[in-house]
Amino acid sequence: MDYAIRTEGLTKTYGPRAAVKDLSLEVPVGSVFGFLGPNGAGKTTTIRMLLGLVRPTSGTATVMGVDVSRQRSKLSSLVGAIVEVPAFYMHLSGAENLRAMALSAGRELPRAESDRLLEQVGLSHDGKRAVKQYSLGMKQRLGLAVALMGDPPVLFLDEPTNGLDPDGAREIRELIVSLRQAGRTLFVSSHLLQEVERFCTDVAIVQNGELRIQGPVETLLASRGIELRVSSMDRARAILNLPAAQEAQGAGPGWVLTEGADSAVPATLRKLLQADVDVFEVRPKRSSLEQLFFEATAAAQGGLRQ
Amino acid sequence: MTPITLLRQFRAEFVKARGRGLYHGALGVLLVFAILPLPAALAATFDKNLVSWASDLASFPGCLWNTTRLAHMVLPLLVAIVAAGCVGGEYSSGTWKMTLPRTATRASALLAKFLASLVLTLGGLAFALVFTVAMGAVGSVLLGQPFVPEPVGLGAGDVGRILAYFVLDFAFLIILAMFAAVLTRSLIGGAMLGYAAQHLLRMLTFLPGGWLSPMTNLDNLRAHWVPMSHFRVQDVQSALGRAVSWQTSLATVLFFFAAFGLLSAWLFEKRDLASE
Repeated sequence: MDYAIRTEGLTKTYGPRAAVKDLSLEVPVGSVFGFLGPNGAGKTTTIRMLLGLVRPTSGTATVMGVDVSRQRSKLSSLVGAIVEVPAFYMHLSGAENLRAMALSAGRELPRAESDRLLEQVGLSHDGKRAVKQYSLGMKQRLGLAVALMGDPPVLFLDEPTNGLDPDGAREIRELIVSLRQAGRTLFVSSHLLQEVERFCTDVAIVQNGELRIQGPVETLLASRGIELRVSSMDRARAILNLPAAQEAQGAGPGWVLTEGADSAVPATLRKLLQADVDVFEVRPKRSSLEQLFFEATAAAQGGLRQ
Repeated sequence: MTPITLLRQFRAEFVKARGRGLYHGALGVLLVFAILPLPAALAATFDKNLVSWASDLASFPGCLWNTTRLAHMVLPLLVAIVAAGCVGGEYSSGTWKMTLPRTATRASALLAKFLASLVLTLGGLAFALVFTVAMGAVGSVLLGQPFVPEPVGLGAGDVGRILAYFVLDFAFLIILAMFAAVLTRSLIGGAMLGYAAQHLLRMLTFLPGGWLSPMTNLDNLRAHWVPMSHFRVQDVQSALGRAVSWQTSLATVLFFFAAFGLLSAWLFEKRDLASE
């Protein structure tokens, strides 16, 4: 598999405190990679290291095969980024900010390109307004426009929906999906798990600077069985040979949980209906990212307590 | 670093400078000194005792020398503020994190800022001097005297040396402030430390080997190159403790300029952008 971003043993320490510890990530090309963790987990420090803004204490990191510490000049055409809250020249308009930032990076930004970027992030009517008059959400969009300048293949978005209202957050999510469809790799850090679950193809969870879990969302949240809401739970359990107290295994109240993949649903239904047990609802039993997150971080906390 | 990239980064500084209060404030302060010939001439129309002083201010090249002398009281601070604003402002506003990941070489970004600061400060001074000439011309009309009372004895060489002095002086003050801004990673820190560093380097004069002080050598160049300067060669050389030629002073200033420039570039390249 081709990886857009790879880190090996990436570590950053500030004095005795390790902000990031021995982090090894693999971000597939063309994925939307959710980088999750509580506040202070080391997400922003990792992004800063991957952008060459902060030097790793040890370990290596590559973006599209370019070593971020040793080949920083090559990195500049490969990445676009929003790091934390985007910052701008407040006295300039949105369009002037785009121009100033493009020129600062040594690029020309033709007017048509600037207009296209502003339109892409929904700021076409506000491009001439001074940024000091922008709301946080508008600044976030302008930050995204800056990140998109020059069509870089890899985008780092640190909390991209921060400060956005639900409509704004939805638009950004749609934009992220469209960017992925255009073949880009997106590295998205967030603590909004439900949001990440909606558009990420891969995730990694970090805590206290350490990696807890990583992998494709599909695999991590794979089906853990089938849940059924039935007319008689006792009879259903007897027919399906299930233990009496199922709640301990994760079945919801009023639901029967049976093993098997989605393909096992017809046979299970047939058994129950033939035995006159009515089935009102069937749903696959899956973990949510939220559950996965709490399991991953709680296990580590438990381990620490032990 | 290519010349085209550098030119674009240089242009970026002028886009950023547009409408920036910091630069307008600095120019405003200079214009306060530049406008002086006009109120002086007005005052002299009421009080005849002021005529001699006002005549000097409202004539050419007297208006230029007086404005330059007066402005020089604040110029070192203004230059430090503008240069620190150019570099430190990016730290303070957090905009480095937006531009640096997209910048191929950090040294070119710093060099572009140095050149832009030089052009902005020299341009500001030039504008103030043109303004003071205009004010002087108006003042001379009010006083009823010729604006150029006698032939101006300045050759091309004199003008060249004056320009060279101001370029060198501003360039050194800018590089000091930039170094301070990179060191402190802030606008205020850069301006304050940059300005304080000018005085600290001048105080080196009183230490053994102090004749190497770049600030005092700049004073020596000023005494040699700028006519009507209030710095006299013998006074500066007395402070230096020895007769120092302008060539030696030039070499000393250039050495320190290169040293601070390289140190700034190295620090800017190697240091983490932020430690928060």
